[in-house]
Amino acid sequence: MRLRRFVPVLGAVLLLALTGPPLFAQTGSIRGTVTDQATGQPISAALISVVGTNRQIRTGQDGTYELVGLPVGNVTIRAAIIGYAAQTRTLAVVAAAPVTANFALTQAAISLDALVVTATGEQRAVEVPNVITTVNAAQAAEEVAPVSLSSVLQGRAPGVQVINSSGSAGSGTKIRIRGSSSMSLTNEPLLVVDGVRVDNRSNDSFLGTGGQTISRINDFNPDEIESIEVVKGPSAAALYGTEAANGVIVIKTKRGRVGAPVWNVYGEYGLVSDVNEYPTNFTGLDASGSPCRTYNLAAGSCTQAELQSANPLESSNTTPISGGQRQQFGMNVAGGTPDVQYFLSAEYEQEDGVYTLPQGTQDSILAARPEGFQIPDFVLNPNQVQRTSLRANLNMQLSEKLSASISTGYVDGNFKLPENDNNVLGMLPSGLLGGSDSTDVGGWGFSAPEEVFWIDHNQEIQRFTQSATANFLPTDWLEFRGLVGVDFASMSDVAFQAIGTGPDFSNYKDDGARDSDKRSTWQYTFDLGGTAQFQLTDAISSRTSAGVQYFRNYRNSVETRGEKLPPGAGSNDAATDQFIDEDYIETRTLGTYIEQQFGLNDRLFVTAAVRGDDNSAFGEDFDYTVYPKVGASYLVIDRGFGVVDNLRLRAAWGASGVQPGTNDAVLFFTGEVLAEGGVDKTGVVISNPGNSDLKPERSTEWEAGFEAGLFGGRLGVDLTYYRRTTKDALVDRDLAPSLGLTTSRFENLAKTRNWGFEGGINGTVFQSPMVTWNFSLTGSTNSNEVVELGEDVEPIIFGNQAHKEGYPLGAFWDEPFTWDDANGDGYIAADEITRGDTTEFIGYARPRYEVSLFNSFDVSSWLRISGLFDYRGGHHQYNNTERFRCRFRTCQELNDPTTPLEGQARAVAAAIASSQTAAGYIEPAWFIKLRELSFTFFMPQSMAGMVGASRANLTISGRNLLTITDYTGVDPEVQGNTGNFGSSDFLTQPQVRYWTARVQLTF
Amino acid sequence: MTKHTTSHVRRRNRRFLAAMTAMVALLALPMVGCGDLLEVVDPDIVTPENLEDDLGLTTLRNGAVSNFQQAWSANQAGDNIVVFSGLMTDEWFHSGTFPTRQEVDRRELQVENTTLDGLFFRLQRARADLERGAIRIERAVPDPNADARIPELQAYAGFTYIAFGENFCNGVPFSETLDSILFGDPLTNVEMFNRAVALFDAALAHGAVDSDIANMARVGKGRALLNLDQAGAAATAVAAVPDDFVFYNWHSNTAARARNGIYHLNPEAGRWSVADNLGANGLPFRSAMDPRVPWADVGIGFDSETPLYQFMGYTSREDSYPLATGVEARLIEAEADLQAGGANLVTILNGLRQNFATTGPLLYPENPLTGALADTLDPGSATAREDLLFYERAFWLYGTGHRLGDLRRLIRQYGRGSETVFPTGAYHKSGSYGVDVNIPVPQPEENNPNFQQCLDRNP
Repeated sequence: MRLRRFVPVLGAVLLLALTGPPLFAQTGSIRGTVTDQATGQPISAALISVVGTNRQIRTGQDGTYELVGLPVGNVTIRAAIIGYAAQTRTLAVVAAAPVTANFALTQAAISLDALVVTATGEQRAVEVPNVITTVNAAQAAEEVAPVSLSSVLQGRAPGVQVINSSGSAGSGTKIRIRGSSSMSLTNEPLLVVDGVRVDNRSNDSFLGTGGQTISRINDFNPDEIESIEVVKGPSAAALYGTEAANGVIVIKTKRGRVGAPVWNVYGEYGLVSDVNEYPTNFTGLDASGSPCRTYNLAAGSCTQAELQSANPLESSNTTPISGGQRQQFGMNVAGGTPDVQYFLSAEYEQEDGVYTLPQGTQDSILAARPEGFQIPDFVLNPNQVQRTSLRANLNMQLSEKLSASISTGYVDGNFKLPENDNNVLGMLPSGLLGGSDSTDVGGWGFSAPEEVFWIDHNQEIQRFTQSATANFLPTDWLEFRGLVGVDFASMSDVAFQAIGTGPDFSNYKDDGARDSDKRSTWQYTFDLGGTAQFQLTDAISSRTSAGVQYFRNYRNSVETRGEKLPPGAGSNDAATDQFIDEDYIETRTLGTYIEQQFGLNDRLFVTAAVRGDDNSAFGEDFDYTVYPKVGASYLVIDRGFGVVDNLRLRAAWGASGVQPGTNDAVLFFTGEVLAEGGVDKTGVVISNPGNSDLKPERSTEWEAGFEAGLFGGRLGVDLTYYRRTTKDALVDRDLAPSLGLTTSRFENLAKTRNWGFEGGINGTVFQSPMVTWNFSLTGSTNSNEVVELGEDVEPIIFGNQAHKEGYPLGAFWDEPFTWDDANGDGYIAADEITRGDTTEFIGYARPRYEVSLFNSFDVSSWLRISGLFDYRGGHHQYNNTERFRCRFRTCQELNDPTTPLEGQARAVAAAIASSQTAAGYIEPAWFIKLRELSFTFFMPQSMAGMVGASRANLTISGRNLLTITDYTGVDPEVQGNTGNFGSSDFLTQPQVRYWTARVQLTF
Repeated sequence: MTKHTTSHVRRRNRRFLAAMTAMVALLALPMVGCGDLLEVVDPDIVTPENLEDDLGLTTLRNGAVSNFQQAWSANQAGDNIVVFSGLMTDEWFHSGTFPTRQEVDRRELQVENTTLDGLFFRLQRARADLERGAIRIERAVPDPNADARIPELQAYAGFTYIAFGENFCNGVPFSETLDSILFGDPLTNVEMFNRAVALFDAALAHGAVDSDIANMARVGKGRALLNLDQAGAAATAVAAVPDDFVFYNWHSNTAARARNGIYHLNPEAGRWSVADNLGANGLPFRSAMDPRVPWADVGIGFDSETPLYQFMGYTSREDSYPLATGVEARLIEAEADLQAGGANLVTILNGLRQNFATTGPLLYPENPLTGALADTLDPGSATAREDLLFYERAFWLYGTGHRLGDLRRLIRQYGRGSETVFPTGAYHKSGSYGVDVNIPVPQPEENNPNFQQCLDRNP
């Protein structure tokens, strides 16, 4: 880039610096302490800000602060922190000596003065016209021992759906905020860590492990995180630009505080168990041992003499499902001087999932091998996670006007996952689709665990996320921010079946097969912005922000496969047949934004902003896109008395987008092999027909709502209505095959809509010196609809799901059926099923309603009991596991004559009838789960002091303890699909139960 | 208001204006030549300008032929026309679990069948790429009459029309995209075969056509004419094809799309199993123990219940497939003789049988057919001679994508009822066989504004 391109930026900086008022000749300072009014305990990390300026500082570990360099004269300062009501005080600053201002804050359910992170920097929540949900991750990490970062989000942010893929250790989640808008592009939110956009793929694995996806959000260690803020939709995320239409998750890691070093040391040990009940395989037999199932009984072709059954997943002799364990050890230290603060942490985490070889099998293997042979660890523990996390964060006050911070996070992870899901080599498929004769290879259908577990599936990742931020305050009303960051990850996926081991499938046992994929991902963030904030008049305040952002995401991967590997070989270099593929993907985005906010008497705030983006993925004929937003926030009641303490009304409208894929706009070919005369030659085939008009999807959203603090801060209520419309939604439109191009191409055609309510009520039910009962009840609804698919675009059908105009995105559809036991024999025959000719709408594939109830009971100062109930409903789940078991003729409904007719009917309709339908297996999937239950014991200081600690606590926590549902499958929550909308329970490991104990000591 | 306050306000307003000006200046940054910042080069892709010279044209030719092989007999990742159409007949039965394939096996195909989507697309892409390739080369090279790539691509394209005509319903459209998008109108099977004949004629008339391509085109033309019920002309077309001629689709282990798809779906994946006397009308492909259909019992299929029988003509992913053969040329001549009275029918068929030691090993060179075939006798009646001819065709051409076309011809040209030639009755995975005698055009073609559905589902 040539120098002239910097000219506008330099000009802007100089202009802003030179137009400020002259520096004050005399300055003074304010110092003091912030404490909890109820307990008298100091409050660290409370924000002390000078009202009407950009000046601010946080209290240290001991609750103290000092603001220096203040102009002599009256200065108004505010003390605020989430969970407390803010206090404001006007003081006369003098040059001679520091002025003291202590604050004793009272707890409040609604904290409108707490800071939230926005695209233009931190702002008071009351100034922001949107709802931004803040999750206190630090507290969650201490008190519920979360197993992953996504589990911290679960149930703690209304409107945020955490969709677990499976219960295998290390497997991930999809996250949806206010539903899904895009039919073809990602619906995952943007993830920002300390200002850097980071990789947030929900399925980042090339391993053949089905729905056991690995999600990159879980690379981040909950113990390193201070808070998580959820920016929910375009009305709030407009200034994040292209990529932000699905919302933004903003993570702030922990920072150092002024004060002596404070050490936290913690250790955790947990037990993992699978308490799910796996279904039994049945076969009805006649006297001769031939199959005699219910439909045979209906035909009168046999008499059932025996109902044979086997369940290799539940039999203690055969099941590889036993108890797993999890452990975690970590320490961190935080402290610093007024000039330098630091936070350093290190943690090691290890989890063994619930799979292992049955003891009898281990004994058999050892007996068959030479003495001294040891079964490899990956065979004994095919599902493992090991993760080491390191973090170093530094804040520096380089001068009175210049501060800087550096955030550095590193994770070294290793995941082992067994083959599973829609996979003939999977262990669960082999059990669930197995036979009914337990004497026949234990009842396994395809391969036994001692075969499947010899395939080693492993992912290693080294991930480094770093940002450096500088804040320059040339005057008290002007601030510049600059941030440079990178998120780099190096990954290695290996799937290896050594010669002579593993299942005898497709010559792999005879020859050996090994996949080895190496990937590197870089995501660069460059962010330069400025904010001018001052009082235009005594009543009107102004806050003007502008900035430029540049993002470069780059990923390359090399995928190799080796077949026919000699004994002892562990590299594809040794393979006789070697295959290689290589991929590059890069996108670049350049965006600018400007935001203007006016405040009136610190009660009414009106904000307008606009962002412009250009992106390398836009088509040739599309150049630039603009995302505007406007909003208002009005503090109707502030510091009220009686029932209502405060009441804020807010409304906002904004636009955002999601960019198409890197090459979606381009006509291109890719190389393919031609086998000819025993030689391989190079050919090309069209891979993408291109679309020069391609542009980003554009979502506009408005939301309106209120927050109110009631009964002296004891109760908080908030409610938001949102309505998001996505236009130019990219449809991966089917092309007529006769064109001979590709099966589809992206076109900006569709229009979708999401709408719903979010809200909650939280507060204190009961408070006494002995017991305090706090609760939080949050809920959300999401309705959505494909408004238009585009002219002449056929419904987009994927299995039993479809995008159809006038119906929810990705809804379930199938042909309905009726049944009638016409001859009254108590059995349903195929001809007693009547199937409709066309598919009909069945229901939503994702939950429409979510409710989370969190209760905590503080018993004196030594015990906290908390629990989280999670309800989801209004949707269906495709129980493809059971339907497929019927196709394999081993489901109970096709074999057990005592099966109710309704059950027989759905099985016959799905697996036996001439015209089949799976409608009977697309079931209502509402559930209530006791997601978390924890007991935290706070040791008396005297006891903590015995080990030299100032504070000690012990947490016993359980996860996935109870499920209430009508769903007939094993778990309504499992997801056998890795795609955007695909939703099915298909041979996937359900959620498992955790009980963990965590000890934390503070020195 | 004091004077001081007024001045203060004025100063604040100046600050505000300055701030706004500065912010707007910041926004100007990306408009000042941001193109370089957004320029991305992706080395994965090949853009059209790289394919304009002779080397590029050869690469296009290779891609088109690769697409043909994928659609016809290769492909590990999806079904090809040989296995798909064979599953509708008595050649194979389904030992897998996919409902979409079960629909094929049961002859009750839905237009929403996603397995069919892929098959139809790959065949259309091969057809379009071959035709586009021939025209692109013709436009680009200085002397099209001397370029052997042109007749070669035309001959391959002819085979794609045969595949559509023999297997699909009346009403398949063929669109063009070379200069602009021209959506095709539905063609009848007869029109498809006529297009095939035209392409073979063009290839044969080309000055640069080599002998192998010429013989391949002759067999193709004969096959198309047979479908047009012009057996005499078909025999004339193939007269020059030597007995030992075999034109192969080659396969390779290098990529999934190039692997032998018949081998993959049969023994490797366990989804296709060699049938025997299937559905009452099926021929005894296993029990006849005919050396032309060598098979082996290799256990249980993918569904864990259906016996898996391997066709031993293919024992690896790399084994080649006989696309056009001298054997087929002689069988065409035999049919012409049958229609002319059948005086030499048995002689021709026995000639083939007696030559088995020579031609058998050539059909599947990696797994040479062994054994001997005894002479057959004249069965005496016209109908029995028809049966004999089609029996011989079924065994000589087992698993080569001819059988569905032959069964349709038996109905269309020889007056047989569909229930007498196709598998019927109870289906081995429960239920009963359907009534389809051809493959419908799948639903995605409805994105062609000129297409609604098959014109009919007649044989």
